[in-house]
Amino acid sequence: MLGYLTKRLASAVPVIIGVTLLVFLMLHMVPGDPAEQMLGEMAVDKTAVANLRQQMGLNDPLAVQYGHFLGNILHGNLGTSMLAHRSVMDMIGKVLPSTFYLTLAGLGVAIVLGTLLGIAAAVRQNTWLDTSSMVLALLGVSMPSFWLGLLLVFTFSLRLGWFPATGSGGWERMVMPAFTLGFGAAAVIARLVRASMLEILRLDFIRVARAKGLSEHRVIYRHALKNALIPVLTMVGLEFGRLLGGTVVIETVFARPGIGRLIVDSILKKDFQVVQGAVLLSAVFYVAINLLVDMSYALIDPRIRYQ
Amino acid sequence: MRTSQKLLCAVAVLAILTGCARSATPTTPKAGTPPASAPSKQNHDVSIAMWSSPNNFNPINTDSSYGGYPIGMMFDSLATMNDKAEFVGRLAEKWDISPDFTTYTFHLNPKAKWHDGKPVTAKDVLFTVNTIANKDTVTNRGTFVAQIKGTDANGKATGATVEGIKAVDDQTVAVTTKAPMDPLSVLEKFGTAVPILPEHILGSVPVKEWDKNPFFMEPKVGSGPFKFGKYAQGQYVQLVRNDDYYLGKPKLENIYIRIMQATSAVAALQTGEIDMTAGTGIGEVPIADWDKVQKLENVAAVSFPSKGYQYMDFNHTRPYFKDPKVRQAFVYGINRKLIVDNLLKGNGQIIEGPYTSLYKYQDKTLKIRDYDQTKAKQLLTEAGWDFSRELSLLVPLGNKVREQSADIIMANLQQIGVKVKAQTMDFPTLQARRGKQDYDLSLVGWSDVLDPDVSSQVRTDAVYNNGKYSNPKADELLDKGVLTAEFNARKKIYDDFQKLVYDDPNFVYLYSPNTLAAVSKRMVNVKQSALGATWNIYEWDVK
Repeated sequence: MLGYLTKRLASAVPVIIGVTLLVFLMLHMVPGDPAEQMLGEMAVDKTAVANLRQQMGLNDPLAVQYGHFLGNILHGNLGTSMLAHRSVMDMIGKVLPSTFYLTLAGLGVAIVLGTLLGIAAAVRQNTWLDTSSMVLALLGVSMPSFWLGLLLVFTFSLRLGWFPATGSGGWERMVMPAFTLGFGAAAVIARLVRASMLEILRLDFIRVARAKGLSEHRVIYRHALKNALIPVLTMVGLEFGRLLGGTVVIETVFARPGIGRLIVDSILKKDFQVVQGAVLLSAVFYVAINLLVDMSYALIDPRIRYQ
Repeated sequence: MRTSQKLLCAVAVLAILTGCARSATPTTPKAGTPPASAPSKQNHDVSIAMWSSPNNFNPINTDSSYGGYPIGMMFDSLATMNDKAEFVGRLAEKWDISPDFTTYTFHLNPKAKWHDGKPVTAKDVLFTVNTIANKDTVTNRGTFVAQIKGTDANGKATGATVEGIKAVDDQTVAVTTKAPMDPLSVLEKFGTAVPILPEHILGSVPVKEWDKNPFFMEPKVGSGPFKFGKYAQGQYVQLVRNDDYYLGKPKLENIYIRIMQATSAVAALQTGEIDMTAGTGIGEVPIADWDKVQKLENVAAVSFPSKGYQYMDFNHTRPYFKDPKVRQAFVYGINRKLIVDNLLKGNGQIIEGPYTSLYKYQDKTLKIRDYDQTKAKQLLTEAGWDFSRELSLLVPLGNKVREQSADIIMANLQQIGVKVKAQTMDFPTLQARRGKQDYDLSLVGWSDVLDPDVSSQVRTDAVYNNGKYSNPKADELLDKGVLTAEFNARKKIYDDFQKLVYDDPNFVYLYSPNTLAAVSKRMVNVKQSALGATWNIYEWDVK
């Protein structure tokens, strides 16, 4: 297990380095002079541009600049926002919890809804329940999340007045964003659980369980479901990363603070230090979560051994 | 299994509701609802939607739009401009102008106090100007003090301090300009666009350390009708009432400037989660939602003329644009009325020069040229236009109406025989191309102060004259205009200038879109124009 972990951690290093390189080059790929971009209307003053170039180290060779960038990251310093004059780490820290809770809530919706729909479809295969569950799943997969978000706002905020349309804080402001975020993933999970359950329900040990006289409830939830969850777990790991990325749209539609909106806002304002930091941190999260998911297989299925 | 069936039914019901709910009565949250994580809601609170977050709260170096909005409520300037574009006193209750238009004496309001109770004095005004003019200060207010004697073109002091500003006594400041200046120009720039800073708080902080100073994250001591409350990053700025405001206690208790996208704001206006949009450039109702907002029962939708306009720029270094007849042909050949009527749904005006109807200096005698394809073709033929030539038209992303107008412009030009190929790109790329004169035509927007001086855009080799337009007569008029103070004499100069660019167009002036704003009907005393709404914010109230 320890050997596997070390190997996985080692393989994550080139991924992270690749991301830092891409993120670093981004600043240099932007059309025009980054210093002029950042000064905006003040770029008319050429002395100010020259000073800022010096301050940003833009006169150094590219390799040296990349070295400084990596060095700063290793010291936990993601730089300073050129517009807000605040530490990027601090700015990200302020909005990260909101994105994290939203992603967790979205994942919760996806797992609960997806699993229940999948089970219902599997145990009532080829009935109206199966068909409608899968139609719903198809809807979930095909519907763009911003559209679902707007539909929910239209129905539950504007028509029914149940939930506020915008903002964050309190469970009532979490319901619609979490559902919007999780619905697509729920659909994917539902299809997977259905397929997985159908396969397992035909296996001998289920027949034995039924022959022993166990209640159908016990057969489904204690025996079949536990075995059907392994492929689902892989999917959950992948979905977590996707959901993290999906918050960009949800945070915009529901006017919630978060890392996605911070990135979009910073791109629009050309505050590239913030974009760099936030993209880098998101990539690290994604890698870490996938690693955690891989490690957790053993907890679900003790037969799995890491080599 | 029964449980799962029930849950499935619940999900199905939810899905059906999403699509079909129509008849239920809405129970909208009460208007003025602040974000849930903010302090508990009071009846005299309002929420205002703004599209993006402020960069910082440095009054002399925040972005002039998103940051400037809350700054304007916390930090007063010497004067402000009301909804009729008239100057009204703020920290200065009145001012005198010398007969030669070179000395402006501002008399401060003796009741004016900082939020910590200390009086606002002439020393604070001097401190502010000298700080902006300090060569080590990073500021975007330089151009607003550059008229004062003892500063260079960027507003930096030529001596140790700015020679042209003196404290006559504790309550009086005398400003001497470099030359006779139009009062409109001095009052608009120095009077209204320079927020006064507290010397007793910032005087001891070296300007090089200002960026990192906590004051600019949480500016607790201002002089405006509202004090800094809280900034929840990416969510809202909370401003709380300044009970001791020198013009009277504001009626509202808290103002929440909420950061949200335009599309979310329309729903939030309807539910009453927000009470109004922030206004020109930072919180305007998108034209696509305008019909919907106009139908909202709880909201007043207001459309008013603005200072900003859109134009098509020529690359004047191309020899084929040299003949004014070619450029005039483009003016006649583009159906600007169609753009205003269809894309702006009538919420805009066609212009023939750099001044919209908000400008006192607009020459109203100039006839708006009608769309006339025959005339356009005739002018092109007279100028010997090569109809096989293909022109590049650069279109920046980000302004939907402008992007759509490009289609109309291309089709119109095609109809008069001018081949055009549009290239859509982000603004920095477009600016880089314009900077290198690597284009034929480009679509750009502009918005400026009400002072008519447009030298920075039109004068030969000026910083924003990307297309390299050059007309010695225009240069002469612009130079003369800056140095003329008396209104009628100055108006004559700028009328002549407008006639000149009418016949020898530097751009095709396309249209000036109106500012589209929305205000909840629960709000009273909000008097807004494209110049802003917050000038009398201390009088705003809710029903």
